[in-house]
Amino acid sequence: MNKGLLHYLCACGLMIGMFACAKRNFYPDANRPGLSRLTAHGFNVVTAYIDGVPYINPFNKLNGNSLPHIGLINTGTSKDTMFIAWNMIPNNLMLSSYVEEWLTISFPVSKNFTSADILSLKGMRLDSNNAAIQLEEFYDSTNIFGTANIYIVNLTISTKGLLDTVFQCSALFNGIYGSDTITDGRFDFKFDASDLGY
Amino acid sequence: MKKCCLLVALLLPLCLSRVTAQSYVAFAAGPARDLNNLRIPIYQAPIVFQWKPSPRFAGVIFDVEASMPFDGSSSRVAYTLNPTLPDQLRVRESILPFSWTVGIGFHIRFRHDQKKKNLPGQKKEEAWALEIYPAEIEGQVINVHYSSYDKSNYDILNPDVGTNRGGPEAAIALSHSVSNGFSVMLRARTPPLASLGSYPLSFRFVAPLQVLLRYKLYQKRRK
Repeated sequence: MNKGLLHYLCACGLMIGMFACAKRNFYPDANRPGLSRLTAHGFNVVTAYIDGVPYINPFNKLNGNSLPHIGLINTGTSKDTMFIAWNMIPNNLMLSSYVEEWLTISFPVSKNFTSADILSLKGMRLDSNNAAIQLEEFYDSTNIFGTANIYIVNLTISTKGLLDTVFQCSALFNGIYGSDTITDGRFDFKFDASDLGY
Repeated sequence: MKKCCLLVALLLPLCLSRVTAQSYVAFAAGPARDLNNLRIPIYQAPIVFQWKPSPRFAGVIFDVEASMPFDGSSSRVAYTLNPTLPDQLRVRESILPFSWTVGIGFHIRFRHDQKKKNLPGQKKEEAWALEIYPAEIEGQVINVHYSSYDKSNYDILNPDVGTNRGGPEAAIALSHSVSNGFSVMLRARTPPLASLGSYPLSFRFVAPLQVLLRYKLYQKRRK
């Protein structure tokens, strides 16, 4: 066989093997059918019941679980707003039709919030007076008016590099947005400090 | 090369063992402490059945063991969003490993004294022996239970789940015969060569250190 062709086939095989390596990292919770367990391993998974239907962030074999959008909004008041947003789909392949949703949770942080303050969010439990939630078909982090509860149960430094620090964050959340009720939400993801614009 | 080393390791005890002992069946039991999960104190109660066939087989022992758990507790933290409840609570976690083992070993006696006791016909046997079990198969069923808590409001962070896996493992034992038929054995097992799966658990396969009291029933020699 032509050596060039053999190398090409090997490279293709290697790439296919690498693509197949992306893992779903969905471990079902025995007490909440369709939802993932509450974990602190950086699985990049978010699940919640939306009007009683289990939803999860999408997965593809190339990139794994879809990552959240995370950022800070300068509100022009004494506090800024941090938001976390995911694309969500039903965690039930038996459904014949469904609509993708963007779930956004926001909460206030101090005006001069920096990457050094991130760890101070660990253990923070905010009720519906302080946290907000949005559920829309399109991503829009500027118009969040639903009420939410969020409890950040774990926030640690996952890896610390010369240029960037990676954090691992786990939380429980629920909320009401218009006629939609979000219950038993939980997430476990990793993010870079640079995602917040530092 | 690796295969040669493995073959030598398997056959070496055969060459070293002394072909003097009678065939016997033995029963053993005692406590065991897991050495592979030092953070969680896990204890087991092994029950062992052994058969040593005739001296022709040069110290070969067939070994069957079943181990029941009798303690292994840890704790986990559960969290809630409900503002009317405490935001977190500790939940007791019980890790209960059942295991079974089947395999063969080799008996290498390295010190043996037979003294006549006062009563005629009775002998006191004092012998130290090394027992190597290089080829065994082990299955471990590890059950995880949580003490009762409010499951509708609380979620445990990083909950453990039970597992049922198995694979090859090995063991080594030092035994000392204390009187006719009775011996004390200190045996260490490796964990089975298997994966616990992709979900991270707070425990590993158990690798017990056992202190066993063994009773041998010798079979009559043919004349």
